[in-house]
Amino acid sequence: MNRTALALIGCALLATAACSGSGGRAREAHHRLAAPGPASPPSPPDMSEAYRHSSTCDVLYEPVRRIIGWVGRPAGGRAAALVRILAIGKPRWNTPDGVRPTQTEADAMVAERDDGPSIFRPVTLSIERVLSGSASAGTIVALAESGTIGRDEVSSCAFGSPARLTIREGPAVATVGQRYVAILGNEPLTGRTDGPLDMPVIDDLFVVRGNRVVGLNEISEPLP
Amino acid sequence: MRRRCFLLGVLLVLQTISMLPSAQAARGPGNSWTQLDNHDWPTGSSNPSCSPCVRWPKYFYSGRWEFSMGGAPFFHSDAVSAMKEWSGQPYPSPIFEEGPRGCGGDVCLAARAMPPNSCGRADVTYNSARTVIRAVVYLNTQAQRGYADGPAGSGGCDVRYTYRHEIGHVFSEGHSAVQADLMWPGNNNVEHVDGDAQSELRAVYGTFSTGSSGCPCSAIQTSKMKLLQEAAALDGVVSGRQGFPSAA
Repeated sequence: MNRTALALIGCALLATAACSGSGGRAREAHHRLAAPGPASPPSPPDMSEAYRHSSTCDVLYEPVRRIIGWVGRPAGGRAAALVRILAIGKPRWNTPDGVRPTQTEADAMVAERDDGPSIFRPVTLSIERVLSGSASAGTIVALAESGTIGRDEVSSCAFGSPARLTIREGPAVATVGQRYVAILGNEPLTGRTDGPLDMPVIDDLFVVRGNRVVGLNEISEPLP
Repeated sequence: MRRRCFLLGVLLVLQTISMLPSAQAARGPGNSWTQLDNHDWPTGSSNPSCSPCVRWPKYFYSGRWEFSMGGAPFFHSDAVSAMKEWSGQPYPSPIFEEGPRGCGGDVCLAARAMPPNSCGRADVTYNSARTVIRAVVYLNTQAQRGYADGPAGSGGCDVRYTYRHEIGHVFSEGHSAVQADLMWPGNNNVEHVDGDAQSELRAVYGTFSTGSSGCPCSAIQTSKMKLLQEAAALDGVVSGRQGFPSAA
């Protein structure tokens, strides 16, 4: 057996070992979660007190292109679009009239749509191109969860500060006039998790620089 | 031939460089731990600590958690193990015991629809005294590839990491800028409370000697050690893994 053959066998063994090493992971079964059980919904907050609420998330640091591909699948009720921010409004509550919910209203929010009171900023977006899912062309108002109203304050996963629309916990801040890839989600006013996106929440914003988009891992990639 | 090898070597080096975890460098200069309420991390907060800190009402707080979701059995057993591990940490941090199924109690573990790249979320509500009133941890019913009972492949969520990370927020943890940490915000398959997470607990809750006067410290330490042992045993049964970090 010559040295080349030995080298080939060695490579094959190494490859086999490497494959068997990762095979354990590959064989790891993925289990989809069942829908949340019909157990009692979370208790509504006590609205007689100051309401301070912080949401924090962990996410898959996948390329933006892949995340866009995941968005807008059936039953997802989401869309990804290249947008420009035209205006950012003052914080408002997620009630139809935008004012602080009473205790009765807060109770109803939790009981009827499994979601509590929160504070959002209306963000006017010009949709330049829909990348996946379906969204209205032209200008829409989307809601960015974050803000302070009086003694109450809310920070969300997408915008990690109540004081300003800090994108996640990085250095970028959502800015009027700038372009972003926006992942738009379900409605905070009705609790629907499917379309149409007539008043969506901004689930994520990705910074666009020229013809490239910057992902959660800070790696930029060409715009789809 | 040598030229080809050289070019191949250059390509391999470039490929390796491109695959380096640039996220860690790009995230800097962040902190290895932050407290839950350091909203502007990393740019707005060079100091990860807090005063007063968002935390549970008092030292040695004892509360109840409840489980409220369907799915494979490991969703529950991994939740139990994660909660025991956090409750067993060697600080005057809270201990949560499991209550009946439902979503009452101090902490609720539930599931809801979230964006497809989300694995988990923790909602922590606190008052103007920065005392935590209640927390809900959510898994995602619309996670792109669902959850695995252990390290997940591309596009999947490791439920053990997800629980431990999210329950960390419940205990007052913010995010870490270190990619190898449990509290790094990307799903990195770290499945145990690590030293940086413990540093945060120590800063927020103190140590047994600083906790409060007249505390039944030895009894609490014994109780916490028991929780850690139970977590390790449960973890081993579910995964076949025996290893478990010490709580020192």
